Amino acid sequence: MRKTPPPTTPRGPGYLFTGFILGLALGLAISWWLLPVEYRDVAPASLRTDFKGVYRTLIAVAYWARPDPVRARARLELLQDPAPLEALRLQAQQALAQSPWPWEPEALALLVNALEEGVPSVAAAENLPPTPPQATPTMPATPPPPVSPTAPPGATLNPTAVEPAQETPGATPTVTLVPTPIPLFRVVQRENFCDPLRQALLHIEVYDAEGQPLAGIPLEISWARGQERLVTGLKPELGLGYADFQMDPNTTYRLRVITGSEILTNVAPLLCRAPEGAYPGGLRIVFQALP
Amino acid sequence: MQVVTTHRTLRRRTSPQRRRRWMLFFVSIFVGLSLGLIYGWVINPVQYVDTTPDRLRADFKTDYVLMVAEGYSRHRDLDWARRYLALLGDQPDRVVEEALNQAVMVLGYGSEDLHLMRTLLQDLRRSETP
Repeated sequence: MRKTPPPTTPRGPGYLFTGFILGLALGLAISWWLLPVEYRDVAPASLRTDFKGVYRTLIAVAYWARPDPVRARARLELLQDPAPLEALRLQAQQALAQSPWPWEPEALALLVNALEEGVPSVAAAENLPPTPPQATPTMPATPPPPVSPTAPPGATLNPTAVEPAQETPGATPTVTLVPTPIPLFRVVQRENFCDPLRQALLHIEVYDAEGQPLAGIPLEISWARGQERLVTGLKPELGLGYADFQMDPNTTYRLRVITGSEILTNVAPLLCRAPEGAYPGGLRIVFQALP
Repeated sequence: MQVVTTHRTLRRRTSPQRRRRWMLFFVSIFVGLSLGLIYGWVINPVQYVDTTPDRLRADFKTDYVLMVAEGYSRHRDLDWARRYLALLGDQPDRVVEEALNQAVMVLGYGSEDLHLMRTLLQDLRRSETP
């Protein structure tokens, strides 16, 4: 008796699909997790959020030391923040609360105001009349690229962020490298005001000798159990020289301009009377730089 | 006996077909693997968005050091400078030295920038000598 062989079932190409999917999954696992592409030479835009904050602070402090708004702006562009001004403002507030160095919030506030006043972009700055380039050392074998004294040196090598700076290196605005002198201040006005919407508000204004509002001026307010630093210009909608502080009605404060002023004592809200009842009033203090 | 012989014959007959199927299976894995690697390494590689300053490109590192030097030139606080330079390396003076070399040899920084970086380097070294 002859036995018939077991019927062989025809198999479709499904196994090919299975193999393909297995290979694809393996390939993605290798390229994304096991051996991902390693970037060693990243741009500032790839920095972690907190390190972007560090970078931003450095930009501001560098600007504070050498007020070059075009360079500062070019550096900020490297971070590719969607809203650079907002990021700077937030950074200034954080620095005010956390930074152990008083010049950091001051520098950030200064930069915020400089940018708000309309600093030309790198590209726009290049349309300004050319100035003689700075003396730069040249190497005979590999001559260095001409460096604009206004764009950050890092930016000149970045092909995407500030490309225009590379193309016309000679056309740059004049740079002032002299640090801004810090004036001394005196109190020219101190008045109480009654405004139910601004209860116990310490309203401070700082002006230069010519009566122009001054941004980025650090102030210190202290009381029996603590102290806080303020910087003018963080609320530009209320004036470049403006800063405020919410007082506790039961506390007496001392106030001074950190860079130099008399110390105001007995800073406290007075009671205001209204038909609905008494409430703590505000106090307006105006500092002006000595000529 | 007859049955055994028939099965062996059958196995021998189907063997090349099986081999072919296995081969195609591995080929399909290889194709999938290749496409996966190309996609993951070239088309859509992992984007590092949370990197640290020490991974910055050399010219950005140099500019970072210049910013520290600029700030230092105003407030003269070496602790402040060290804190920021520590994000680029363990030895602040080495970090500044490397940046200075880069600034001179490759990037051609202006004399004012180089002066600030040199001052920072000198002050860092001076503060470390007992």
